[in-house]
Amino acid sequence: MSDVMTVERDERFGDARVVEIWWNGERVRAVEGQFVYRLTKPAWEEAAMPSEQILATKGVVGARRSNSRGIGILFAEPDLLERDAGADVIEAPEFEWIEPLMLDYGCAINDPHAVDQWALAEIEAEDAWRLQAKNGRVVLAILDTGVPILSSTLSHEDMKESRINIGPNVLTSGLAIDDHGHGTHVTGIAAASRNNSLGIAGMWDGDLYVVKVLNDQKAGTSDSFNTGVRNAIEFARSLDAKLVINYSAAGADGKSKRDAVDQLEQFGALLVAAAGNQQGGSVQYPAAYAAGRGHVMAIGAVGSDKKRCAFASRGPELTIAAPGSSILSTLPDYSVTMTKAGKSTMYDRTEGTSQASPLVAAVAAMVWEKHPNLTAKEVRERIVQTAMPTTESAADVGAGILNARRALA
Amino acid sequence: MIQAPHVPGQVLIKLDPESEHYRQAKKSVIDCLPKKADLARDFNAAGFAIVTLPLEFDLEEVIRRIEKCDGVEFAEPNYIDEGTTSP
Repeated sequence: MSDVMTVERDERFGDARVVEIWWNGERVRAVEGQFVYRLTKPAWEEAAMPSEQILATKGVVGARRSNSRGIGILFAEPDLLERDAGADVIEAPEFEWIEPLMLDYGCAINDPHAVDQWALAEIEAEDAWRLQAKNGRVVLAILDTGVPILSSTLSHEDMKESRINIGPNVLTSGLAIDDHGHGTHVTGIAAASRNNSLGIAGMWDGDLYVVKVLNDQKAGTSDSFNTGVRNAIEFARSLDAKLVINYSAAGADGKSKRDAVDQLEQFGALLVAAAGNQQGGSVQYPAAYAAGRGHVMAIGAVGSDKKRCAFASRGPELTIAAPGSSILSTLPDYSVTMTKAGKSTMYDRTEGTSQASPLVAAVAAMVWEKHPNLTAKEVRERIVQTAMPTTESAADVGAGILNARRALA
Repeated sequence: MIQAPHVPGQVLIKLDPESEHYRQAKKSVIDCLPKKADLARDFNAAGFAIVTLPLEFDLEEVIRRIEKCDGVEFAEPNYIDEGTTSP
């Protein structure tokens, strides 16, 4: 589980020393003698902990009980880290996981609205960020209504990083300027700036490419999808990067749509697509290609009760589900179709499989960045295998609910 | 009858741009279009073009006719996708 090697540093965290250890193959800074744990769901519900007597025999001298998410801290003898990085020794059935209390995760996020992003807690996003590793280059392409752009530059306060690449508007000409709001919302979920003391926290902090394939009524065509896919492939090829595409739109089956999916397969890319909002009706295309194509994922939506949202499509094609109700994200800083219909500028909530899909796409990009030797199918498989099972049927949530921490572990 | 939502009067045509007969195929397709058809967007690098027809035309019939032309991989209505935010 861990490699043992501690190096003392002239640094303290409260009263404790900060030490450097090897943990899961990476060198990290940890607080000596302190371990963070998460209780399993049954243990958490029953407020159960391993007995103090048993913990004491393993070198534990105290504990701060779990919070509302089942996470707490154990205090151990200072030399426990040096013996075995500690966590191996303390493991108990009541713990879902336990590990050294590490510093500088970059996951103590300061985005003020992050506390209102229930989806991040549901998929254990903070843990996933700590597990990120930038071993390969991945582009996450968002094919949607565009992003906020004024005077040819990104205008939203939470989307101003150079990693966000503005692609074309394939419907007419020019740049991918959002005139609806849908694309800005989807893009914010996937990749709004994190830890910038502003707004929300996006999931993905790597290269982003935005192509406008949907108009000001959030409608596109087979042709715009195909053109957008080909454009994204060329962009990723120019960077010699892997490509994950998020498509939060859906419609009918068609030859040009299949042609685009074939192009993605030839390039080795992964397509993450919203299943559609058919109120329990069938999964739409291109998501429905997931049934026979390993490089396509069909994403359903669940609420905070972990049940399929009533609006969401269902069927055997579903790959997994992700949070899709009452999702807070970015909206343009100027008037667009969604704001004219009552949504606020800058930030607001909305719902749909459109909102679930970008979370999965972002996590897929993170998995691929960490494991660049995987194929698109293997990235999909990893996300499927690490999804959290629910009591819902496979037709409602596929393999379960996205879990970013498990996917990145 | 085409059931799925599509752009009225539009047909998406795909040729194989890698084919040695590509230029001939383009000419052949344009020649076999109805006289009132408008090449709304010429063939792009991927071999796709969009043709617009007056609404009184039977789109299915025109598509069948185009697909019989030499070098055509497929033709179909330009289906509409919609962003999946609810409502």
